[in-house]
Amino acid sequence: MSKKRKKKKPSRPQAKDSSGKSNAFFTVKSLMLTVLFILLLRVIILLPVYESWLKRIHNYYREFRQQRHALDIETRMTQRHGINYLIPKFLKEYLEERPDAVFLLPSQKYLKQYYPNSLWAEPKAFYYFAGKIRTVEYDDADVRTATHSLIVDEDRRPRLIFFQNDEERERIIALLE
Amino acid sequence: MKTILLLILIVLCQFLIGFGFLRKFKFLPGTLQTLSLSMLFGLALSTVILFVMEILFIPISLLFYIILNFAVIIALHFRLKESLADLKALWTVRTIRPKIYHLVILGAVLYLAFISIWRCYYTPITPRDTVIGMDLVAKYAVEEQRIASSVFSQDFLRGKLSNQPFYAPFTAFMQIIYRMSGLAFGKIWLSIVFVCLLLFLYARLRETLHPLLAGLFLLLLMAIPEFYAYTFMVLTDFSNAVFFGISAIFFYDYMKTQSTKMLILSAISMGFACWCRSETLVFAVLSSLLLFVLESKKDLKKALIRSAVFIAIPLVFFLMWNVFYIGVYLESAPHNQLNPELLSAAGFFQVIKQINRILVFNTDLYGYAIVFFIGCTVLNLILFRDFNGFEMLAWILLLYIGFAIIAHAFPAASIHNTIKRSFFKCFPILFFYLGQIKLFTSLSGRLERWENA
Repeated sequence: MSKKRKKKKPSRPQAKDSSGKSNAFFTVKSLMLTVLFILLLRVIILLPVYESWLKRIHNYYREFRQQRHALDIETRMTQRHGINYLIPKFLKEYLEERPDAVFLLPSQKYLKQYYPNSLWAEPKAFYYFAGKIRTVEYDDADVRTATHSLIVDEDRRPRLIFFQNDEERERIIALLE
Repeated sequence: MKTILLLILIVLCQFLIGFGFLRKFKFLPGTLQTLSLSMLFGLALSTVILFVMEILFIPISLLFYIILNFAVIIALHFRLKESLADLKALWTVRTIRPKIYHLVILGAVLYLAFISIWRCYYTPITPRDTVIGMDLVAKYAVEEQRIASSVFSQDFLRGKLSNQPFYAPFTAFMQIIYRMSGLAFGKIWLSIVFVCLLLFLYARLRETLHPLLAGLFLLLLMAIPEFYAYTFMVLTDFSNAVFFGISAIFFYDYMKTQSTKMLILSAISMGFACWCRSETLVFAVLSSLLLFVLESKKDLKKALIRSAVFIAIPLVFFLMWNVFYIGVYLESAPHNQLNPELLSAAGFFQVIKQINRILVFNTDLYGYAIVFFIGCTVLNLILFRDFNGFEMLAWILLLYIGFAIIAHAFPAASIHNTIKRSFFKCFPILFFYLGQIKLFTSLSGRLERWENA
């Protein structure tokens, strides 16, 4: 007689471990705690400070959906730094082709009349954005070696100028101080 | 693709250095803590390697940096079998009981972390101080393969550098390392610091709290508007706050266990905090005094030695950069003006008044974190007369006094900028403290019991 082997029933996952804690992912109580937690977060978000902060975060998310298609470094630098990046970049490209050129950096005081948030003409920032092009400031001893500078015209547009003669240089130095 | 591979290599090296370092201390707490601490200590130690390269005139290039990293890794993991066993143990899955509410916590944390990481990767360096300071140094160090680059010797910049390029080196060095990988803006190391803080703090909070409360505290920390903003804007303050927070938490561990290694690890973390921001030395001195006061009741000699050790390690980091590198190596002396009325008590109290008015209760900057902390602390004292975590409260008080001292002593440390960001140091400590008090530990206990009944 062949003995019928009793099939072992697959053991159920234990409801609780040795420390008495529930192992189940989903229980009524854990669902209740989840709902409570979501409600608590909702109340916190209703506080004005967190509400406006979260709006900003959601805006960042909306920006991300556009930004992921615009990964080009130039685009990112331009979006973030605007003229603080574009003007030094233009000057770098232009002056690097002219090894004898010396650029006279406009004073912060002069530029801030037209661009209040201008940072690029600060020597350290100019060195950061434009790199190693020969540069002087209006109060440097060698200011009269300058060959080029940048002024803002009547339409408030930046304009690169080349000094035709000493008089023009003096006039521009006086203007940019 | 090449950049991603190099990034993985750099991160792996830094992790192994940090892991090896923690192993030397026989300090490998749970998986989350070990992972996060290994990474954070690895980041800091790898900047020390860069510093050594500079003073030994080894060119600052990725090749030499990786070679030296390998040398340090080999030295730290000399007994390879044991190291591998420890590393394997790290991945051994312990009892994990995921619940449905974990998904909500994880979802919220991941959403906020993702936005921060994306912005950190995508946006160029923004803060003015970093553009004309740390990143300026980093950019030319990578280009010229020397930290003492043309930034410090260029005629055009002579006398116009102000303080920013001389800031404590951690941020600039991190920028150098991550720029060397090919990343246009470096930066992504800041996200690593951020994620590690989240992992570490969550693991520590979970030791005493129910997952819901631990998750809530983590979200409240992330929702501090100003704190969150600096998780993707590179400056010195965020990483400084992280190392400072770890130092305070280890200090608390030391007070509980009297374990010397916790005290040394706390001092080393404080040293790394000084490596991020030099004025942290003020807080290191104050913490050392606190240690002396707390320990002197038991054993005066021991208290003196331990507080001396606690201040000596941060001091070494401070001197390495501020005295040796800037003073001797660069032969520079950045201008740091002291308040001529340094001893004026009226001036000091005026500063405290301003800090309270402009910062402490400014919900636009810090959300309701400080209000929540004060409310819970008072409630805990009234309801339970509970003084658990008193050392953390003392640290927070010391921080407050330290902010006032710095704002009073250095006119350049403005309340609207420097002190505003210095407040970041409080937040990890503040939430860790809340995780220790009876108000929340007993609530956690009740939740656990109810859930498992």
